Amino acid sequence: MESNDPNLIGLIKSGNKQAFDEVFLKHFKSLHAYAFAIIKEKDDAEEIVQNVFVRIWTKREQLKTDGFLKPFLYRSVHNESLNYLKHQKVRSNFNVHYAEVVKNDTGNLNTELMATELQRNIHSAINELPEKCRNIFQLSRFDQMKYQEIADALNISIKTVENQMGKALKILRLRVVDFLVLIFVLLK
Amino acid sequence: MDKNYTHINDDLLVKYLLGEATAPESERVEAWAASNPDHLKQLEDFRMILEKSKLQIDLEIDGHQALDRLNARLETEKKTISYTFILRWVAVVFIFFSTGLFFYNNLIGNKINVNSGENTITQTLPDGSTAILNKQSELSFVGGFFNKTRDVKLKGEAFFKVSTDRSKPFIISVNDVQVTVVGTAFNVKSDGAVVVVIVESGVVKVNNPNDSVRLTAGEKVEVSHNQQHLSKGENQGKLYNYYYSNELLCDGTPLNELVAVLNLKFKSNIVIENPALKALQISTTFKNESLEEILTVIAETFKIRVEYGQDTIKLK
Repeated sequence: MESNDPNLIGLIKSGNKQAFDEVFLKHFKSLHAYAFAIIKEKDDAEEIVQNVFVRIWTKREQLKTDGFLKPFLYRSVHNESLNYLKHQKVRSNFNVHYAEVVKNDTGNLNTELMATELQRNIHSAINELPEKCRNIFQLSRFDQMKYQEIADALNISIKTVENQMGKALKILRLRVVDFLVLIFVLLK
Repeated sequence: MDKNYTHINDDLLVKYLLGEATAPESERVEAWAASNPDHLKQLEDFRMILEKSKLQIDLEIDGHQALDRLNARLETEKKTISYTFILRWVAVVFIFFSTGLFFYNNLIGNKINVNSGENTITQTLPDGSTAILNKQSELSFVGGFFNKTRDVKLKGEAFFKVSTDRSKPFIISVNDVQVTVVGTAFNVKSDGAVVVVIVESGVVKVNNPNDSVRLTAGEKVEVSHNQQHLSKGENQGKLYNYYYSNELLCDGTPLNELVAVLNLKFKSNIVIENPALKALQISTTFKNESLEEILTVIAETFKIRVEYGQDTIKLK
């Protein structure tokens, strides 16, 4: 999310493998964590990040040099993860059915599943936030950046960061409020 | 919302939860939350969402190893990509060239212009037919996919072996006469005034603006300019093919016809002085003999004399 993002994208576009490697090393862990948060599969999460980077490298001529790298990467990983879940659903309808049965027996597992489901829902909702709102929220939550750091990186005022964060939380809460009620009931 | 807390909004709550709020702001938020269970609930919801949206970085995973795995995959991916890339271009080039070849064959390659000059030449036409041109003859051919007919324009004399193609008639235009063929072998001769068509095999249709006639093997027709009726006759012998068979095949051939051919073949000027001699029929075959040898044979056969003059040879 640094000011030299367009520069890096330009380098990758012109076929600079070193720049590509640098970007991968820098963002791999958080992207992997993001994919893992959605799909809950460690190895497959890596494959999802790989897919995104393979596509970036093989279609590097089509990269757009304006804009920032990290929001683009987060979005790509999110879409790839949803695709993965879609395929997974078809592949293992049986497993889901089996899990449902077990779920009713053990309260513990139930809570765990609910927590996973909540997290997945939150991430889906995040991805649907307005672009500016989403970028700021992800920098704050995924990369643990302070308001001042975000303001500097995106070249905006700290007040805007505050506003966008408040807006994001308001929207997210509305989206997952049903889940939150359930979680609280289960936790008690 | 309570009147006292109108200045508490979502922005401030988030700020507080993220530790970005000032001390006085934090105090205000805490008081606000304590004042009402709904306030507390909202704050707790926000806390939960912020907590759950945080990413848990896997500390065991190694970025450099992941990069190695990515590069290994890029290697294999590159091979398949360059393979499909090459395959795509091979297909494009192939289509380009075959289209080009098709258009070339049917537009440019299907036109031929030949002039035989001082030699007898055998010309294969683009449709597979063969034309043998006598000396001083000229032929042009236009055919191919984009034409409904195979058009030949002829000046002089030629023998044709036409390859069969019922969908595209082979039409020879010579003077004002048209000869239409499907697949056959025949001779066409024009000396400027008279066109002679002799058929060796198959069927040929000959027409001028006024009339038409169908010739079968062994028949011939002679057409002069603007002639009203075309009448066919039997062809005597195969003398007409001397220029491509290199033989003079006489089979009851009148002497005047043989003399005419000899004059053409040897560029001589043989004159028959006595009109009674013209109708004398001769049956023989000459191969590679010189003019003198041939004339000697003729003289002995008919008991006549040959006089060699300065420009002319006289038969008496």
